[in-house]
Amino acid sequence: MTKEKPNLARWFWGSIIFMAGLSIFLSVAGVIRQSVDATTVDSAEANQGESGLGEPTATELSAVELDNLLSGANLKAVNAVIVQIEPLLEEVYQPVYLAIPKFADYYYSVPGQMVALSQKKLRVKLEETLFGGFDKRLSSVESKLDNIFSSTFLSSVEDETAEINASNNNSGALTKAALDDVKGHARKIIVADLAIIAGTKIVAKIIAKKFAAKLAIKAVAKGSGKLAATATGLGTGAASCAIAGPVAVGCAVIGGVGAFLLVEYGIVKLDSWWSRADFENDLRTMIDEHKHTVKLEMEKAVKFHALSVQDMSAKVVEQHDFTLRELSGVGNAETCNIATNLSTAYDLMRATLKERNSAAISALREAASEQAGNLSIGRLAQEITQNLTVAEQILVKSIKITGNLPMPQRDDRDVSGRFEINGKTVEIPKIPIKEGDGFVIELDGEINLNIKSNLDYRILLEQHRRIWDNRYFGGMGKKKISDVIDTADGLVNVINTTLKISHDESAESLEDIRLTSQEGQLLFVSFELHAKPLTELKAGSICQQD
Amino acid sequence: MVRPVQIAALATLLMTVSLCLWRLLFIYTDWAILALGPLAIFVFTSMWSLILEPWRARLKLELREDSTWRNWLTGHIRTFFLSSIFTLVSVTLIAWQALRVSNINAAILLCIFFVAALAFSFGQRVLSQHFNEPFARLYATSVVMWCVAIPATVCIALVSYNFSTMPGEMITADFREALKIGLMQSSSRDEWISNIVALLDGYEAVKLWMVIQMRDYPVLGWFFSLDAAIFSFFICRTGIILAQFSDARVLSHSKNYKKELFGKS
Repeated sequence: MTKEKPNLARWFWGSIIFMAGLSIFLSVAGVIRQSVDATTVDSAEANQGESGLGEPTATELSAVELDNLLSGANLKAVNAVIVQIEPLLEEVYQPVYLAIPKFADYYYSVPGQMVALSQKKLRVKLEETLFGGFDKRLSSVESKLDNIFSSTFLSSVEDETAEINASNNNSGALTKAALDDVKGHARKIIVADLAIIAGTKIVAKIIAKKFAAKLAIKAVAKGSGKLAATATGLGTGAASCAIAGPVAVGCAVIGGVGAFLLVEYGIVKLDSWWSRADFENDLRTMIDEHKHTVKLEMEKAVKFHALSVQDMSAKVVEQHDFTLRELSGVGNAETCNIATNLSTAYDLMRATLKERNSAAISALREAASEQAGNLSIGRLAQEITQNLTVAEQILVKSIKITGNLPMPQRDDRDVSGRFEINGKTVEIPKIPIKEGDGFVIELDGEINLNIKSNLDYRILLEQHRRIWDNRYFGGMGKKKISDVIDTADGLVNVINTTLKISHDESAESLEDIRLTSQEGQLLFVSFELHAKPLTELKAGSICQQD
Repeated sequence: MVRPVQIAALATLLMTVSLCLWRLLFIYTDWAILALGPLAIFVFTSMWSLILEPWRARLKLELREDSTWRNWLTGHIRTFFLSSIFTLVSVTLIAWQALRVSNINAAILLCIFFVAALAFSFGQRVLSQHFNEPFARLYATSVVMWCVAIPATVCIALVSYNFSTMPGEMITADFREALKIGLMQSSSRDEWISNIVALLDGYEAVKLWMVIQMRDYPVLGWFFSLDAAIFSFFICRTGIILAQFSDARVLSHSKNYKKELFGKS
């Protein structure tokens, strides 16, 4: 056994007590210094420069934390702006609503009715009366929304930074640099993006034009009545002035003009009494619609703006700190494969309609969602997910129907009707057909369908006869869209199919037609389907960067 | 059962207090190194006996009683050299890590330290039933260090690989920039301790830069993490050494405990 070693407990405990005491003293001094520094911003910044007292540790946010912080700030800013759109627009439109009675006064006056005969003049008057200063007011809303967005975004970022600092862990140099970068970028992109709203300003002219056109039609209709009354007045005046001898013509003209003004005044008053309330309501409804359109445009612009901010902050985050696990994702074979597979699948869908079956879209969407949090290819995945929202949409642009009516009912008579696809209607205008040749009906339409849905279509035809009652025909068919686009190269696909129409003897209108597809005359129908184009991916593959 | 916990707790307390003070003081001055003085002295003292006693025991068996070499082969120079090397390397590495690790990593390292110190007490108890002193202590030191350090290395490597964040600028940095980023992580003071710390940070940055350049081979990322985790061997050994110090030099040597620990002898 070795000899008993000297006991150093006193030294041990002495060291511990001294060091612990000094540590506590320094920590307390640091806290006190920090609270003193917090009272003046300048001294706090100076303190940072010293990298010293009051900053025992510096916290660097991870990329994910930074991303969450910026996304949260972005969301707060969007919400703050969207809440403010309605009240701000109220302010912009208030003078427009208030000017409605004034414009109605003018409109229901003899000079107003004269002006109403000219659509252009009426539009100018409408713009002057209702929309004076509208553009300026709308512009001020844009700048207010800009300010709300930027101040909310920046204050949210500041708050989060302050929160980090308050927890005795000042944000590290990298985090600070990243946040400064974001703030700088956010300030730059605000005005440019919200300028999209400026496009809505021309709507003021559009609404004026639209309403003026509507009023002009009414005015012309009324004008013909007035013309008849004036003619009558002129005739009556001429008859009454016959005794006037040589000045009978002048007397007749004066009589006519007098009659016209009298009639005009009477009609205007009568019209005002009957329709002024409706007129004002119509105008108010149109302004409501206009306001709603502007509101939607503004919300769209704000969301678009938020995406820009998100895009910008994603780039900053990408340059922020990373873990080795995330690094191993940057450029390695496995991640490259995933990125390539995602891009390839997406590009195929961009190029060909047949790739857009619902299973493939779901699979790509799922694969992209799985990678959404991946630091290396997260942006690519998010972009794919976002772009895929329109991948399932398909547009029926034209329909061609060829064939003839059932043999017993064929005749050289015009045919009209309607064609319905999934409940949406395209009117078939009246077309002449020859008994022997049948018809070729070509219809244009913009009918949106979903790839997952069925193509349910039906035709309703009315044969216009001269003496006898019109005849009615109907037929229907069904196709599964995903089945028929399987072979479609490119984004346009023509589907050729058939349906049978038969005569419905009991029908007295198009609405009465009972549809049967079991028997009848065969018609050939072709649909031209256009897939919605998918945007080209902006986020390049990380493998291409190497 | 209480005593091993006391031993481990004292060792961990000493380590925690020393490193806290070092970390706080280093913000202001390089004289913060004084905070590591007691730790270094205690480690050195404990290492001294751990190296010297087995040497003497072996010499007693190997060297004749009447040999004139006995006066020369005391083992003091060898012990001083080995103890100094270990103390210098382990305290330097631990102090450097203390400056750069996050709070979570620091907590993990202290847990490993505590577990190593605790395991040593139990390991020594088991081995004392089969080996004579000082060999039981020597073998317990070695066995416990390996047993604790290997899983600890894996644990730290996993944490480091998955959660430790690296500066984002490194991804696009060239060699010089990477070195600069590494050097910027430490204090800007141009003093000798700061320069040593900066050198270590620079070395780490260069390693990370190489990993980034060869990121097509993710296995290198693992090596990087493992390399950082090998530090856990120093943590474990230092924990064991300080546990021995607490046992031999701080806590009273009650006879009951000795009986309990070494049996009837």
